[in-house]
Amino acid sequence: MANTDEQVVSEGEVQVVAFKLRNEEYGFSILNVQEIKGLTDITRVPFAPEFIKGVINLRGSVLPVIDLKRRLGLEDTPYTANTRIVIVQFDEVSVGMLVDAVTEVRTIDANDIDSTRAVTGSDANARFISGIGKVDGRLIIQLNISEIIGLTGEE
Amino acid sequence: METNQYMEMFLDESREHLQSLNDGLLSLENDPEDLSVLNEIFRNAHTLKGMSATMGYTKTAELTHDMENLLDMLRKEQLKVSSEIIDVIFKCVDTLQEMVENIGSGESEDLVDVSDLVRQVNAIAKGESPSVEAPAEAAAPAAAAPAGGGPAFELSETDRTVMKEAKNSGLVPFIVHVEISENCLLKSARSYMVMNALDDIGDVIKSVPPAEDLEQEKFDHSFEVAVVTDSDAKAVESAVGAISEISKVVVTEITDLDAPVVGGGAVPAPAEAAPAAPAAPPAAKAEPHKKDAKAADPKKDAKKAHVGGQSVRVDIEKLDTLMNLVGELVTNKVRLEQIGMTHRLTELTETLEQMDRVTTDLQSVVMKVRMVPVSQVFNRFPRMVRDLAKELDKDINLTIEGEDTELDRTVIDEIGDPLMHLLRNSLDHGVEHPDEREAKGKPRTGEVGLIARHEGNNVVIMVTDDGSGINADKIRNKAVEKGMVTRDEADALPDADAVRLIFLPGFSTAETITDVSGRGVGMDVVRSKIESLGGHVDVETKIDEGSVFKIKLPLTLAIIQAMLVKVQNEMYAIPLGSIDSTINITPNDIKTVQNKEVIVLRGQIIPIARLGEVLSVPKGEDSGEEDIFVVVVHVGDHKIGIVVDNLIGQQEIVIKTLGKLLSGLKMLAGATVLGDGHVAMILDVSALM
Repeated sequence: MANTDEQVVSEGEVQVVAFKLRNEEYGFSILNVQEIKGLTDITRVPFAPEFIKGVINLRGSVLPVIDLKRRLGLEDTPYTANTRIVIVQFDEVSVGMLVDAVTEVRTIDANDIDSTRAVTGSDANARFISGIGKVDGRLIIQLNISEIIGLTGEE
Repeated sequence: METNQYMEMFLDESREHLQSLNDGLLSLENDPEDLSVLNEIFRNAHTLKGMSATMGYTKTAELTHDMENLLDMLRKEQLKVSSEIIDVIFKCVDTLQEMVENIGSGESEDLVDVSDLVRQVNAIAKGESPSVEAPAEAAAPAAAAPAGGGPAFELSETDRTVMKEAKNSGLVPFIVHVEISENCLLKSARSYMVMNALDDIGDVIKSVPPAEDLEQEKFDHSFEVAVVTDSDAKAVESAVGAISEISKVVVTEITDLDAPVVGGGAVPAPAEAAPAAPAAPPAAKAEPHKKDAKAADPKKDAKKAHVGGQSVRVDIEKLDTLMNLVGELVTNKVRLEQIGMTHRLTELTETLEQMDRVTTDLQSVVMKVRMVPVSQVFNRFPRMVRDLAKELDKDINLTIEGEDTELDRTVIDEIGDPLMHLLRNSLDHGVEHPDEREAKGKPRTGEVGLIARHEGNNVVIMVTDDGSGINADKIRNKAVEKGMVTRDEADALPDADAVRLIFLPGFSTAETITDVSGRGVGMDVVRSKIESLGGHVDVETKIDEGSVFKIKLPLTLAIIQAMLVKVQNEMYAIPLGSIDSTINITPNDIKTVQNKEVIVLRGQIIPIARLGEVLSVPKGEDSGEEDIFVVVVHVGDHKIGIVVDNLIGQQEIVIKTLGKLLSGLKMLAGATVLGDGHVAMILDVSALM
């Protein structure tokens, strides 16, 4: 939790890696992002949770890839040339996140990040979101990595 | 603070030294006369003391120091090795182990209370009985240190020669026993003054404890000094007595310089008492010490062999990384080969052939680096067996063979518990009580064996005993009683299979649940553990002749031979170890029995599973192929045919875990990266049954 709370609570600025899922813009704290990779072959894993797209080979290690749109309950879109896998690290677990496109690395003033409650209310997916950043009139939805990875075991 | 970086090393080495102490003590118990073992033990204790003192763990250092003192006395034959003393030293080792583990887990070493133990150790060192309830047996150690208190004074050959010469030139050798008053604050200062005073009037030959220890206050309230002087006893006494805070001075002339040990204190060196003492070890406990005899011997040899090579400690994670990198290298090499082929670059292909050899070698070296001898796990068993045998009041001789056999580090880490369980079982349920054995016409001492050896691409570890064996009827009854099988099924089973029922979950044959085994977990846990390691466990038994538990393990967990199969567009790997055969059939060969598909192979009916359906592989277009490939696999005695679309071939694969996020998925034993960089899942065949 500490890692994700940081981006909301800490004073000053937060750096996020912003990316697109359909028309919406989302972000992970840059501290959690290990690298960004082009789309490679993803091997399906039988019996894996539905939101796990499969596994990839990252320099010899096998890494699970989460289909972020499916995880957040968004409609599926086909792969494009812009499709990327964002490798994030949390609690020593590395996971790939399948996103439609990576837009930029953005610095957001902590004051410009709103708490989520006002927007999402009691939405079931609220736990995935840790805050909403406003930059130049755009909204970047901050994601809570630990909830998305789901190691807390509520799945 | 800066000692932190040495923490790992400290912990590792401490554990190593404690292990050697354990081993050493076991062989000492066997052969109390073996001075070389004693010296080895002493060195271990000494190093341990030094290390813990350097790291600032004073309590650990203190306890080790007291233990070392005791060992030193044994070494110098001022004390006779007895079962009580060994027990106390064992206790010290256990306590130290606990302290080291506490330190390792970041806790304080103070969590363990050592005061009682320190008192016991010091009591023995002073020649008192180590335990109150065994006063009769204490006679022997006490005899070595005569009544006047203080340790007996041993003089080396050189010391004696010096003294003899001094005597010839008219000087008198004395033993000065000095007691410092209880409330003295600076004992070291007082002892220093005593030494100075004695130096003034004569020559100090030796002191017990040694001068360095005196300086560091490593003594109780008394110490002894051997001096040669031209003054008489009175003069010596008054010279020392003049120093304040000295409560008692006893000066004894050494009359018999040929006696190897001279007593300290007020009793004038009874020459006959000292040599007599070693001859009287506590008779009651002397007999059973030969257990573990064989277990200890190969250890000694291994130790000798070990001294030769130099080694480096490497974090296993680094080796895993290295392994991954080598894997990557191989993958890239395959790519280059493909490029060379498509572009017909002969020069490139030739160079790549060279590279191929190098990478293959590299891979095997990295694999070898991960291998460790099974002695790493076997080490702890002699001690366990000793303790357990005492507890159960049985005589056990543990034989260890093939402890040089190497296994992958990851396997080694996992087999400790199952082996421990099997050994406990053999000791508790297998080997009978000595009286019972005698009645059966067997030797009183039960033989338990722990044997490792290579068998093809596997390592076999056997736990054997010459005990009562397993009664197949008892097992049958028990299994029926527990509702695991019906009476008819049980009766139909041949004895060998009936005995295997013990591996079923929830089976525990111990009539009474003892502390040792039979805590309800039982053999099914052993089996599932071994099988999770890709191994197999079996049992053979004969009534009154004993049982053999045989564990078969793959050499390594990291690399296995596998058959690659294809279902639609997905590639799967099936471990070769569980494959019986691969066959090619037509749809007509598939029959149904109660709506389940089966095939008949060499007269045997084998159920089949269509992998595509089992793993819900997305349906592609039907290839319309008439041929059906079936991979027949087995788990234990069960067989099943796996229907696949295509057989790709046999390949050596590196097993990777699927990680935390995907752990515990059924039917999958992991994943592997293929030569072309794709990931393929490895099937867990047992889950198909």
